[in-house]
Amino acid sequence: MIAAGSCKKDLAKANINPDQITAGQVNPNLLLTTVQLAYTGAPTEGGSVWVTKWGGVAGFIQHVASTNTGFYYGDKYLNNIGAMGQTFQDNYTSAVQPAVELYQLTANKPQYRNLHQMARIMKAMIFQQLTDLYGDIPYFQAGLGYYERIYTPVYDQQQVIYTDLLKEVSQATDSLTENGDKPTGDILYSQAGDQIAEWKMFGNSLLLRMAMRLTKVDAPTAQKYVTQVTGKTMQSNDDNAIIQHVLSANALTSNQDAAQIFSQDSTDVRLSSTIVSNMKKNNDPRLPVVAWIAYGLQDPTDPSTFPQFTDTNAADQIGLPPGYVIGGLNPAINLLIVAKDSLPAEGLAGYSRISDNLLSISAPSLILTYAETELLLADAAQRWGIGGDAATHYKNGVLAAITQLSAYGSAATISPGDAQTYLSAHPYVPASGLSQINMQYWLCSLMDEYEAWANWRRTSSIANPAGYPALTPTNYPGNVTSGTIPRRLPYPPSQKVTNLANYNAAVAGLTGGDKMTSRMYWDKEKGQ
Amino acid sequence: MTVKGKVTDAVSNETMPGVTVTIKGTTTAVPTDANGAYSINAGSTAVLIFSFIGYDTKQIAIAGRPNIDIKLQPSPSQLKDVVVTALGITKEDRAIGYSVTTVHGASITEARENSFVNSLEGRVAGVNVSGVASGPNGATNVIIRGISSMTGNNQPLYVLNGVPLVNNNYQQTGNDGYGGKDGGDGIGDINPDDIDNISILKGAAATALYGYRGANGVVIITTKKGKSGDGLGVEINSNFVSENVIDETNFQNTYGQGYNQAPPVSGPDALGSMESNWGGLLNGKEAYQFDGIKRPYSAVATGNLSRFYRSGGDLTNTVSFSKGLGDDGATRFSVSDLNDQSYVPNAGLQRLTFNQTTNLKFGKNLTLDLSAQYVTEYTKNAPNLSDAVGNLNWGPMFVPRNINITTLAGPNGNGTVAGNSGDELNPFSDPYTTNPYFAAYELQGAIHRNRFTGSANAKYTFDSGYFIGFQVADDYTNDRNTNIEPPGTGYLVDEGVDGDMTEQNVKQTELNLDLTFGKHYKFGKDFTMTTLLGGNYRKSVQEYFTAGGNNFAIPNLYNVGNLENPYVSLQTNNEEYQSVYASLDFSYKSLLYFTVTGRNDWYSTLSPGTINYLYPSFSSSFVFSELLHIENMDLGKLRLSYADVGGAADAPYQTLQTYGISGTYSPGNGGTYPIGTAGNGTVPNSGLKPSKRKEFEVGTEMDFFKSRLKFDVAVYQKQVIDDIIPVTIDYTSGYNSALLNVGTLRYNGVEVEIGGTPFKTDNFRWDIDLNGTYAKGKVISLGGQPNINLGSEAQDWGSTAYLQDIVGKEPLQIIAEDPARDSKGNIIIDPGLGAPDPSVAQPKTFGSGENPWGGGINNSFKYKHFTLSFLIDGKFGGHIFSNTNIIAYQDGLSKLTLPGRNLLYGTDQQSAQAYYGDWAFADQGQFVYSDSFIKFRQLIIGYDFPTNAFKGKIHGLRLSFVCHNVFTILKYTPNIDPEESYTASILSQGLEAPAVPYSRTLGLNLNIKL
Repeated sequence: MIAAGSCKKDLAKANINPDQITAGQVNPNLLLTTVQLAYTGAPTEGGSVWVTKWGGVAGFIQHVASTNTGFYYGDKYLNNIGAMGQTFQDNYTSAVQPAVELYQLTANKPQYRNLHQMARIMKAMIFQQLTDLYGDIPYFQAGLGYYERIYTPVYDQQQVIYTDLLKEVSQATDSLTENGDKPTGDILYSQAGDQIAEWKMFGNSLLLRMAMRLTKVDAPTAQKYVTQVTGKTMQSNDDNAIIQHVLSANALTSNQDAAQIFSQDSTDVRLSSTIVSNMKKNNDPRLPVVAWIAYGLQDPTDPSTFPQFTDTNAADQIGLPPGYVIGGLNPAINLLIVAKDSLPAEGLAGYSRISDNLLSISAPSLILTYAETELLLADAAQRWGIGGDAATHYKNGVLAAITQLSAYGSAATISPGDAQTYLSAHPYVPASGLSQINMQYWLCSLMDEYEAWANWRRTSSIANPAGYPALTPTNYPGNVTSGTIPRRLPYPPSQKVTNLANYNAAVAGLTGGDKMTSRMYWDKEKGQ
Repeated sequence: MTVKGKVTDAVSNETMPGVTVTIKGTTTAVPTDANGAYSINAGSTAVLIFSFIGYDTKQIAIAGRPNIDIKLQPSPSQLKDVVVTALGITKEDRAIGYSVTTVHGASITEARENSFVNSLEGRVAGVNVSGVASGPNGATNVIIRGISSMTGNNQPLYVLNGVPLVNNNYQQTGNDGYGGKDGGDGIGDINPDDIDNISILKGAAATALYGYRGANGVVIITTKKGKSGDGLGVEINSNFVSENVIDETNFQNTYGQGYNQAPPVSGPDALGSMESNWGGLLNGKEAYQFDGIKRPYSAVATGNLSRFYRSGGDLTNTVSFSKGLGDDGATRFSVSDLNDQSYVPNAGLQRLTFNQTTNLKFGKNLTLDLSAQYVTEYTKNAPNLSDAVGNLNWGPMFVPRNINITTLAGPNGNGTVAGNSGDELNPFSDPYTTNPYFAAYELQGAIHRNRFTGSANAKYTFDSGYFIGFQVADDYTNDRNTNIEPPGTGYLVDEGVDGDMTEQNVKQTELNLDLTFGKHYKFGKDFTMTTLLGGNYRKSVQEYFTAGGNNFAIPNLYNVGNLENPYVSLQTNNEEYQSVYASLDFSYKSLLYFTVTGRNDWYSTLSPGTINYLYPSFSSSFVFSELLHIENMDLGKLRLSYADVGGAADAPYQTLQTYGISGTYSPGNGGTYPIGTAGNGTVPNSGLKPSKRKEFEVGTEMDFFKSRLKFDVAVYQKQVIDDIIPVTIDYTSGYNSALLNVGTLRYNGVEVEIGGTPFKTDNFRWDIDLNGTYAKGKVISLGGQPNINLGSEAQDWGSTAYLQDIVGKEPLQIIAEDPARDSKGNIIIDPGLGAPDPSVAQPKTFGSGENPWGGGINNSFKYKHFTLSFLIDGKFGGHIFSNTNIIAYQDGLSKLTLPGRNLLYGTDQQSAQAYYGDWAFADQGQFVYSDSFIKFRQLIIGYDFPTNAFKGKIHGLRLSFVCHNVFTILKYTPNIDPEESYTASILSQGLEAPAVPYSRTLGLNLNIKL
């Protein structure tokens, strides 16, 4: 019989995929590239970068506003559970999973010593973004479906998560060594002169960002890490962590902000009046770079002929006030009625948009910068008198925040002289230092919306409930936050489907329930 | 004297070669020739006996007549005498200990469908057939005796003349709600005109000899063979049917496009409200539409479906030639051409089929059977289904009530803007909803299929009675799938992509080698025994080679060499199986029969440690009518069987984690980085073992009054154990599923088939066939988990409905959001919203998507040359979640949204649109409907021309009027057909989403025998 001659070994060999790479053959560097790209957003059309980041968070923080309540609920605090949970739903599979793989494939392998530390740092960065949005999240058991066969991870408390994030980044940064491997899959610094030195600065700057989140709730820990990293953080814009996007057949390489929402033809989202007025009032040299008025289709039915008319003149820019719609039965929220006097001649089309310098498929993502780092050091210095001189850090931060726009290309480059002029007009005043520092942080984190929102929440305290900058909430009818700026995002409804018991346990631990108004650990209402 | 004459079939009027004409009381006999003619010398008072297998024997006294023409009546009970069973082994009906249903080719030829399998719907007890609503060449979902794998392939094994067919429906609309296409399946390629008969093996005992492959049931198709004797036979069959959409919508016609009870005030306003029917009262005054033109604000949308879909036409011509080779065998060759202009605009199907069978005899010991089929097929523009992206079905269904869909055709008639830029005229605020005319005329899809199926089967029987057989069978399919989205496609423009395309080459082969050896024994005069030993080697390869990418460098040149960002991918699925099997058949007189089989399979797709599995079957038949002589009972038998068979994993490479590279990142500042991937979203399982199906069946079969009344009843219990399922796991684990051997599922079922001839005279005959099915499943265990998730729907439609298998319930439970309720079960109305708060709604079970009850009645009347037959069928007890209805509700199209449009709700003073939106999100159970239906499925009115009018040049001529999907007698689903489905996958059975609306076919069939 034919089968009598069968051989188990042949059958087993037939079951090895001839077109893929086995665990024994894989080079984990491939996954570092994936993890770094994935940090800038899951590459799903109409996915989380659109619905969570721009539909929600960018509106909370009043970088943008929109009259389209269907997609943009952020400036009105409307209930859009699926959209708010989308980042949670996307990132565990798009970013956490390859990060855990990278971590596991490199663990205890001397030839991947530095790669493993990079894996730890990137993994921590991915988790920090998630916990800053949602609070308690699956952390220790997350991403281990394959390695540990954990299929329904439990949620961990944010306090515990933060303790581990700080430990991980601190240990990993210290463990990077010039005498180890030089990971080739590293898209942040493998082209830099000294890759490992850059990574050490990157790691310490991330550690600073993490530590400063604890400002209100655990100042001693924050101070400990600030002191630890002083002098070891990024030293100039040359050290910025920038992911340069390109269009390719893999959607992961595209700028997700542009790919998912605007491209060249966004008709619904506008820069908020809060940020445009601020820049206009302060003669901010960034305004003509980040904003433009663009409207009109050369062919009214053909979006690819947009725009017919563009205007980047700073004086002409008008931001859209948050919290309004066009039309409707309620005159109090009808933009056409309320803003009659300030309405641009072209109507809705005449409000400023984010310019195509910042918003294109090939625009870079600035994921961690020297400017942010200096501003956080200024905050720590002002607050606690540690880590150097607040005024110096402020000055470094402001100048770098303006000149870092050169990453977006020559059209976006602002000269050091113009930056200095702006700085001279806004000298550091210690009495209003925290306000100044964090206003600048809010300005320079345009496009990094999750970071902008987290830093605003960090700076709003009992003493200063409006936060820095002091944002005036809207009170749109039907909002679900009683007219307050949201403090967290609710978990996605899909958690009720796939992880119900752990979800229920996590919600039980939330004062106020799974709502936008509930507070997470580091955002204690009673924090100082 | 010499008596001459001709023998014809009383039903088809076909001439009958090979009929034995015997002089009664003698051994003198002659056969009829190829034209059915005979000539015999007999005394003028002798009696002639005409006999032929499958026909009632007729005795005629010569009474001095030199010419006697005879019509023989087919005998249904006689036809069942020989039944095709596993591995093509024919057995006497009375010897079979399990349920088998035979369907004759004629019943699926006249009122045909592009895929013949659809014609089986409602005809066979225990067989649940449902086609996908996908246009010209859709796949068919066939489930026999309920689900056998909770998440995997449930389609039966199809065997064509001994060749196991590849029936892969690899291109199906996704189960995640994000849409896709139905690229058809493998069984749809078979030409119904070539089919002689179909034998459906339902239970595990019937299919046990097929091993792991028979676990879902087996459908054995035998094509027509050449006629024995000499001479040439020619048959022509022409079929033309027109096909038109059936509009099931019944939307409101009171309010039109816009927001807040007002019509659009400008062109841009109208452009932004094309999916919002929350405007003003339709008052006939002029209002802006999306193109900036003012038109009357009147209800014109009723009829949009018939405006958008066209009148389709399907012409099939088949010619077959048959030639006897005397004592050496016979051969048959046929050519068939199918040309279907689909009712979906700019879509269609062309198919050319060549089929030949040759049966050769070399002396008395050796036979050689050769069978070959070649199919070349082109499917044009299979439409996108489910999600709105590229879905041409979306617009005609959901545009506001004051929009005539033809206005979306635009100045060029193809949904593009004025001029020749080719850019999509997109009237929707969201570019992910595609202009239906653009989807039909500018998005391009083609499937070119070439398929060769062939087998050679040699059998040598030694004089001692031992036989040895060898068969080689191969099914080779090559598909070239092309999809082009031109640069002007709205959602690509939105993403900054300058067009994209894919070219996919799919090669599928399945090689089967079978060696068999056996002998028939006789012990004394009462006992017989047949032994069979066999071995099978199967190798299956599927290669998916894809080249694609985006951004066309030179405009209007759509080939992969013109792509700025190209990619290629290759996926090869190799599977190898080795098997040995044996069977023993015993009989005692013609009273008691039993069969024992055993098979051992070695699988490549499972864990190396546990790759083989041995399974047995036992079946017996007790013909009690041989003992108890009951008046008017011609046959009565009891059947009893038990089998334990195993199932392999559906796909290879599921035991190891694999890594890959998905494109390259080249940022331009130096450095090129391959982008790695790890795994495929499902946690692999290194310990996979076979699943098991255990089935116990009892049945009875009785014939009364010389087959004027017969019935067949089967009762069974089927249990699936260790089902291999990708259990949905929480995505925070990094994966969406994990492959586990955990499912246990049980079905209890009853199948009844009753046939009869209530009325019969020389000129008139009424036949009735009735079948009924009950098959109720229950999920027994999911490895400790309370449930597993199956398909789901896109959340951006407002629906979060999905399917689950839940322990203790029937499979395929529909889960949807149910509003928060107080202790008395009343819905809690949120005071702010004036409606239930969607954020506190909870998922709830609303019943199974599977219909446990089903049945059909076919009546056939024959009066002289006229025949009239009609089929009524139905399914009962299941449920369906309708996305079409939830979308229609949210968009303000549904009649349910008429009340209170001008009111403000709750303390938040929210609009009617927001109010109904809250109800849609919070109370999704209202969109779950009973899926029960009764349909007048098919009507055939035929006329057989008297052949004597053609002076012997034409032996048969039949013209019939045919109609399929005549009308729906009963349904509970508003606005949609209850059978509407967008995929053949089990994972979405019970979830409806916008697909091609159902259609009615109407036409003529002409059959000529020369």
